[in-house]
Formats: sequence, structure tokens, C-alpha cells
Amino acid sequence: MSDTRYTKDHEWIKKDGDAYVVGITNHAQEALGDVVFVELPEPGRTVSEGEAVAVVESVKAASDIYAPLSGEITEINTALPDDTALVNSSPEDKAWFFKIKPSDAADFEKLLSEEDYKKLL
Amino acid sequence: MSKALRKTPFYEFIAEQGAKFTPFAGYDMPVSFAGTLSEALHVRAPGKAGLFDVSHMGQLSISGANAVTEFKKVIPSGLREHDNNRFKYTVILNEKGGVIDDITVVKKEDDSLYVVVNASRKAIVLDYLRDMLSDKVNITLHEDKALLALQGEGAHNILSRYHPRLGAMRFGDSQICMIEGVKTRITRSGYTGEDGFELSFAASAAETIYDLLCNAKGVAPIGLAARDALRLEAGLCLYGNDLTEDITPIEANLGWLVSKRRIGEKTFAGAEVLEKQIENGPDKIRVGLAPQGKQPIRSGAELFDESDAKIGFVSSGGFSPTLNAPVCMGYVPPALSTLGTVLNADIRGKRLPLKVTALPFVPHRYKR
Repeated sequence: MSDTRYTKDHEWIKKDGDAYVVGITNHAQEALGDVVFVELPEPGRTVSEGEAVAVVESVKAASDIYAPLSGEITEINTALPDDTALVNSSPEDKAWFFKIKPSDAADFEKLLSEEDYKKLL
Repeated sequence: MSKALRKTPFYEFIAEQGAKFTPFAGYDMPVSFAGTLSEALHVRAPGKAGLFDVSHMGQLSISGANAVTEFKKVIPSGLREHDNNRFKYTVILNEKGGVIDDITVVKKEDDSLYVVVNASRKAIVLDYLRDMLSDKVNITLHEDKALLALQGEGAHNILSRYHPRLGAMRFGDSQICMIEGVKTRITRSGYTGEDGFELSFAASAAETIYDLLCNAKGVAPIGLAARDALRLEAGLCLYGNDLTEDITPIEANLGWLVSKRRIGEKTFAGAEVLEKQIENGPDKIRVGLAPQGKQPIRSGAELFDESDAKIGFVSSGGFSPTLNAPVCMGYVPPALSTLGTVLNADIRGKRLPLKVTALPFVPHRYKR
């Protein structure tokens, strides 16, 4: 069992202690092209699943990042807004966006498996 | 998609370069190759040049009895003897002075015209010209011709190998030459703000010329996304964004292409409207806008003054690779067009400040 899950909005979610790390997939960064702007949520913010919480903009287009789970934003990747190219060079590792502590950890299991996500591409 | 996308004569050679394609004006066009930022920076780099396929644009010839006089009925610019074999950037106007299309026109010695129109406006321009010009004028759309642009400081060196008299050409000069045995109309022009050339030749020679230029040292293929970033940095208008049928050249801050003499004569569509706008000032004017934050502000964003009254809109907006910052152009009332004026754009309910800034954002480097 992989410990990474996905959303149809091309986000990946990885378990990290009792929080979950969230970023955008390699497919998403390829579709966006060169990323030039990232806006992250305030740590401590309580969010609902599907709520727009961050923004990623490339030369071409703007795109919202949605909370994949309901819960609290516990940490953000403060390096990212100053080094937006990380989203293109390391989308599924260094360019994580934020960590979220879910109000119900069972929600993670409802997210897409890697196999199901790849079927969407 | 209801209609199959058209392909330019370079499609398969471009695909071999690893392009990502996107539908644009009915064509399957390359949106990027190596990446938009690096492509745009390549075009602006010393000694380099970018190769653009612009064959989707419409190449027209206009000839026959009084072709020049007839064509002048729809443009506000002069086209006189001393303009022979020089290209002119101008606009085709409707009766309200609104822009049907922004075009380039070359008047040849035989009083025929070579006109390049935007891909998305081909059919509309053809209908309009056939409606407005005398039946004795022949208007031909050359679908059998290819068009490439080579843009950047290195373009001159690369092409001078094939055309020894290239150095004598100034920005705007247009002439016929032979490149590798291919009859080519070469024009020192472009739409990136850089020095460069546009080459028009038979589509059947597409492979010969493309190979030659694409393999030349210092040349990289450039996609539509970088082309858009470059023209925006250069403060140049994009039809459909900065120019529409409801925007006049005076409002677009293109008054320099309106001939005072021809305004006086009133021998072109929309002349009365332009004359009034020149006299009284237009209600809105195109300006450069520099967002004060890092977030790009895109076309369509509404603009607000300091008392939060809606006063205008962003017509083009994006990210400048050269300045590593967001840039915009937009329309504001002349009273708010003074350099340094701070306005706000609405981005999904959030107000982002931007400052009226001189155009172009990146200085032009034409060889005058």
C-alpha cells in the first residue's frame, strides 16, 4: 500500500506523522508550465474539504489549490513563494505546499489511490 | 471539437522539436518548447535568436485599379511613394473608428500591397475589405505561403550568410531575396521589441528554410506563450485583448499611426470619430500597469480608483520573464493615466495595487 493519495484536482497527499503533506502532481506542473507565483494559506487556518486555500500561477494561467481534507493547516512551505521554480523541478518532493491535520483521519482513505489517479490522466 | 484544427506547413518539423501544442485561432500551434521563461529569455539574450512559426497569420495581396487609394479607405495611415517597400504597422477601422484588425502593410513599387492580418481575423477582414473596397480591387489570401519570424540580436548574423545586403536594411525595410534558392520576401520587423526579420515564402519550401534556420547556431524555436510574454513586455497590442472593434487607435495610444493630413481629408472609415477624440481627448486610454506585488494580474481584471470606484480594466496581463515581475496593460480614464498613479485590480474579491507605468516595459532594440 502506497502512503500517497491523490485528488482529481491533481494534488498529492502524503502522510507525515499525524499531519498530511499536500502538493501538486508532476502532471499538474507540466500542464501549468513555468510557475511564477505561489500563495499559501495562514498556518492555523481551519479549512473544509474542497475549499480554495492556495494559489499557483504560471506564465500562462492561474490555478487554485483546494484543501483535500477538512482540518487545520499546521505548517506551510515558506521557501516556496520565493523559489516558485521548485514546483517545476521538484513537484512531488521539495515543492510541498502545506501540511494539514485532518479533523477525521479516516477521510484520507477516501482519496484516490495512485492507480485510480493515473486512470484520470 | 466540431472542426478539425488546421496545421501550418511547419507542423511536423515543429513537433520533432518537442513542442507542446495548443489550439489557437483554428490552428494546432506550438505553445512552448523548452519552457516559456527560458524561450523568452533566449530571444532577449545577446547574439541569440528565436524562431517563430507565424504561418497561421493571413498573408494577403491587394492589387488592381487604385488598390492603394481603395485600401486607404479603411486605414488611418498614409501610404505614399516614399513608403515603397517599407512595412507599416497600422489598423483597419470600422465606421466608429474601432479596430477591425491590427495589420502590417507593405506598399510595393507596382502599387500593389502585401498585408499581414491576424489569424483570428482573416475571415472578418476579407469580408470587410470586399464590402468596403471597389470590385476592381483584387484581394487574395495566400494560403500557399509560409511565414517565419527570426527575432533577437543574433538574427542579423544568421541571415546575412544568405543575404549579403542584409546590413543595409533598416527596421521596416522589405525586399525580395533568394535564400537557398527559395524566393523570399524578407522584412526587417517583428513583434517582440527585438531586432529581427520576417520571411514569407512558398509553403512548399517550408522544410528547407525551417531546417536552415532551426539548425543555425544560437537559434531556438519559440512557442506562442513566450511570444505573448515578449510582445507584452514590448508594450505591443494583442488583437482581442488590447484592440477590439470598440477601441479606437487614439484610445489604444496608437495615435502615431494616424495621419493628421488624412484626418483633415476624412477619407477613411471612422475619421470623424478619431478627429473628435484627438480634439477633446478620449474617454479611456491604454497605459502600462505594474502590479506592486508578485501575483500576475490577467486580462479582464477590473480596475478601481482610490475611492474604490470602477474606472477601467486590464486588457493584457501576465508575467515578464525579462523583469521577473508581473506586467499589465489596461484602459483607464486619461485623468488617471499619469505615470505613478496607483490603482487597484480586483482578483476574486481581493484588491491588488498596481501603478501606471511607461511603455514599453522592456526597451525596443530595432535597427533604425
